Amino acid sequence: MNILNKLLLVFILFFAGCNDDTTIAFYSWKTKCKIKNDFKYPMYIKVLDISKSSTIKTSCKYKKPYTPVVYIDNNAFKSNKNISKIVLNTIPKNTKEVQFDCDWTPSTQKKYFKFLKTMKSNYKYISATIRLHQIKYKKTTGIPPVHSGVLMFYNMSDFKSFDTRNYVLDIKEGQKYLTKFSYPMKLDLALPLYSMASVFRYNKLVKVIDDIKAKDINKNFLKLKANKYEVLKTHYFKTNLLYKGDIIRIDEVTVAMLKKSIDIMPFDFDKIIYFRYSNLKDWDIKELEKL
Amino acid sequence: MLNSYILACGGSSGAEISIYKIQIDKNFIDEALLKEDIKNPMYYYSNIKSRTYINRKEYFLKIKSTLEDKELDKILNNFKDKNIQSSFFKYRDVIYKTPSYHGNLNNNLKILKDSYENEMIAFFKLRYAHMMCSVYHNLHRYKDEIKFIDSLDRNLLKNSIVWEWIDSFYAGALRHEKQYVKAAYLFSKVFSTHISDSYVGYYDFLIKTDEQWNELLKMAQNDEEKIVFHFLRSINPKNNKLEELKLMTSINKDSIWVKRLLFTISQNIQEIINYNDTKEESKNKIINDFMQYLSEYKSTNELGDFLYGYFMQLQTKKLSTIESVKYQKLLDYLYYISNIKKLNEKEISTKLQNILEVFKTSNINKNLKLITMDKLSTLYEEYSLKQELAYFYRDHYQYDFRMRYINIDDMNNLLKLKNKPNKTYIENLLITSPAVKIEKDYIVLIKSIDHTQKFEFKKALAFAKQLPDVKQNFSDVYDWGKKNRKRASRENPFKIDYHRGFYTQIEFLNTMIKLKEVLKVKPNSATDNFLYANGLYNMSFYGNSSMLGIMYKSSTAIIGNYIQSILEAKKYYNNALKNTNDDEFKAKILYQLMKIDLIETMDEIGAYKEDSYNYRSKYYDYINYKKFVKPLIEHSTSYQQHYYDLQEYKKTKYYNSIKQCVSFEYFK
Repeated sequence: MNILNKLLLVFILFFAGCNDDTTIAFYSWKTKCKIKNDFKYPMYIKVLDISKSSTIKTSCKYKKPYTPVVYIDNNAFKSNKNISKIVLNTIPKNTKEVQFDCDWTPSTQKKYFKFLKTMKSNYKYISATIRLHQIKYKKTTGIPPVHSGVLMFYNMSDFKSFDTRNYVLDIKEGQKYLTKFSYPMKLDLALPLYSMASVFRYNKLVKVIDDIKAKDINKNFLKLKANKYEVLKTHYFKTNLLYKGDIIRIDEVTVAMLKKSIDIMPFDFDKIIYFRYSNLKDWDIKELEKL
Repeated sequence: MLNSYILACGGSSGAEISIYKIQIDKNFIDEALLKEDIKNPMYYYSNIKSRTYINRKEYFLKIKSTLEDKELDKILNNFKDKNIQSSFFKYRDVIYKTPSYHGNLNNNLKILKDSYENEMIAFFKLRYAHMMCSVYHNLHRYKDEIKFIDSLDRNLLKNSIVWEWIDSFYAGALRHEKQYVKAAYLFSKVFSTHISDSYVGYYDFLIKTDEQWNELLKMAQNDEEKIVFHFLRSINPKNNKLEELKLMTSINKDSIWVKRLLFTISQNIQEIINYNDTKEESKNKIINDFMQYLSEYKSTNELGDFLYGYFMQLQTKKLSTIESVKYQKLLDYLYYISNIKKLNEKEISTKLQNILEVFKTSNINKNLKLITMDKLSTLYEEYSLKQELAYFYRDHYQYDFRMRYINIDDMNNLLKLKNKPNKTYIENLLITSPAVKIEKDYIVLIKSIDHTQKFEFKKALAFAKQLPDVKQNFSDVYDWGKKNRKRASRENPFKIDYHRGFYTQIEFLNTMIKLKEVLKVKPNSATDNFLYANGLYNMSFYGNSSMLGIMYKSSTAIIGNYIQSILEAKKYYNNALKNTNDDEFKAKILYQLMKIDLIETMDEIGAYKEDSYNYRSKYYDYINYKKFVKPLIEHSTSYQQHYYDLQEYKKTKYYNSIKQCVSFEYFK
């Protein structure tokens, strides 16, 4: 790296990314949300899960104000479902902000953006989640017509590949999407708190076990390299049947990884929304605040 | 190399549990190797509805025979609420279907309880008991449900199928009450012993911890029950079948469940070899692990022995030796037929006959013939009659030979083959297949059509006259299929558009003969040239009377002679055009020529041949005009010229009558 590049990097790291005013918030993604009413951080709660065949409303007794999030499966836009009507019937028009989460593609872009325009004319402020590929290939995927976006900095690798280093958060992989960054919209940042284990048999993904960390590994496993372990004995592990010879890869996140993720962001953001509230039990919230 | 389809011929999809059933029909696994398999619950899975229905129906008929109608009515009349009566107690519904629920479940439960307690007829008493379970379940009153089922008298019609339904509810209620191990045990019983709902046992068998699993193993009354637990785990697609098989084998290597799983895994491995996108390294590991298992298992079981030989051949591409003489012969033949490169019909015949002798009655007999025909179809000369017959034999469940295009040469060759003395065994197979039977009328019909296609109308007529008389009954005539012996058109073949009429083959041929005669004398007669051209055009694939000029018309393929008569028609249309001064007439002829231009262009670029059905449907689809028809038009200078010429006759009635037609829009 030449001096000029180093200076540029210092400049980016200094001026971009986290600033003193950055606030933290959390996503709740459960269908039955159980959030303590004395929780002091802003919440983004998934209130609707809309797919081609179903619409699931979250039941939530949380009494504080929160930002409702609507998850829309991309395929829902390939049906005749009146998504606008569902949203407008569920979320009151005087809601301060509504967030939309959809992994849209060029084939659904037109419908999704039209839907967002309708939402924009009905709500004061709308935001949308943006995936890394939508940043890199913005010319093809388009810029959603919303007031601001939230960059989801997680799940950036190939889910099924045995060679994936860390499906939840792989900074090296993420950086590939952020080179020559430019995006004509105010962005906030979403970072992961969750962990999982992917089970491979004959190099093929056979199942995923949610909420597994390296600390859960016991004598029935042999550590291979990095985050991979071989199952030594056929047994039930966290209610999942694993077989002798299976290889599991544990994808988890550390504070240092979160810190690094924040440091490499080539844009200013006011807010970090952590995915998700239900994993908070494994984290020291003060450490997250300090990041 | 050994044919890699010996365990299963087709691909598969859908639930893992059903693969077993789908694929067992086409394989080289002897019934004797899986002889007890008629009791396999996985068979029931695919036939669950009909089996349940049959069981209930049989049961109903049996009980009904013991009751007077009055008695049934009396029972039904006990229920004042008509809704409940009709949904629960209308006896036909009760027996044929699972009842649906209306109204307040608690009220229903009360009524059912009274009925159950007061009912004297065992059949109804048990039905009420089942319904009560169902209502308890819907009310999530699992404790009460368990208590109620525990209180039932198991001697009440103890062989009734209703007990199966009740026991499924019982297992479900236990699971809801978190008695997971007991529930899993019962679900394994549901799976392995029930006729009507064994699939429930598969879906609801659930164990989550080592402790639960060990407790379940302790509950087993014998080794077979333990093996079923493993089997249930194995058929979950996320689990490791081979590991489960090893565990099962260590308990009792001769269990039928071991054989079932062994066969299922073999099919999966073959799927991986044939279709799967698994990486080579993983694929080899999967096969090697399985081979390792088989090498230890083979000596005790002919199935294992056979599979070992099969997979060894598949891996090493060399003939493998196994202990079983019978299956060694099978492997030898399969190896032979898979590797044969040069056609020697006599040798194949002898070898096939010999192996068929060994497997006289099993499915293997049928599949050996099919696999041989499949191979022969690659050895026979391309497009030869024998190749066609071999294809046909292989697919004969789907097609009737006569549905395929057959010309006069094929016909003669077929007859020659039929009459050939000292036919080989293979030749006999080719010719004696039931669907290749060629009847006399059919031969005559082929000859008449063949001559028509060569414009030898007199010869065609001579044959057509030998066919049965055509009555003016469309359903008789318009049968392109097996019964097709008569030909006629319900359209007028001498008109350029669709005109209702009824022309028999004989009438059509007579008219064509007359027109041909007239044209010999008056070659410049515009009208006769036009009518003759219309006849030629309409007897083609595209005409309104194609039944008169082609053997078979398919909606998905262009078969046989479809362009010659069109090209012939073109000559006569041009003659007609040259010899007329009538603008109306010219407009009609030009429009016909434009149609021919388009067909010719499609023929030239091969659009029809590649994807005839899609192409044609798009051709008729105005929206797709630009994409599919426009390039054709641009390709044809002749078409462009004819279209240009037609513009001169814009004032004609004909032009104005067609300009609104969607099809005409194409030609603009």
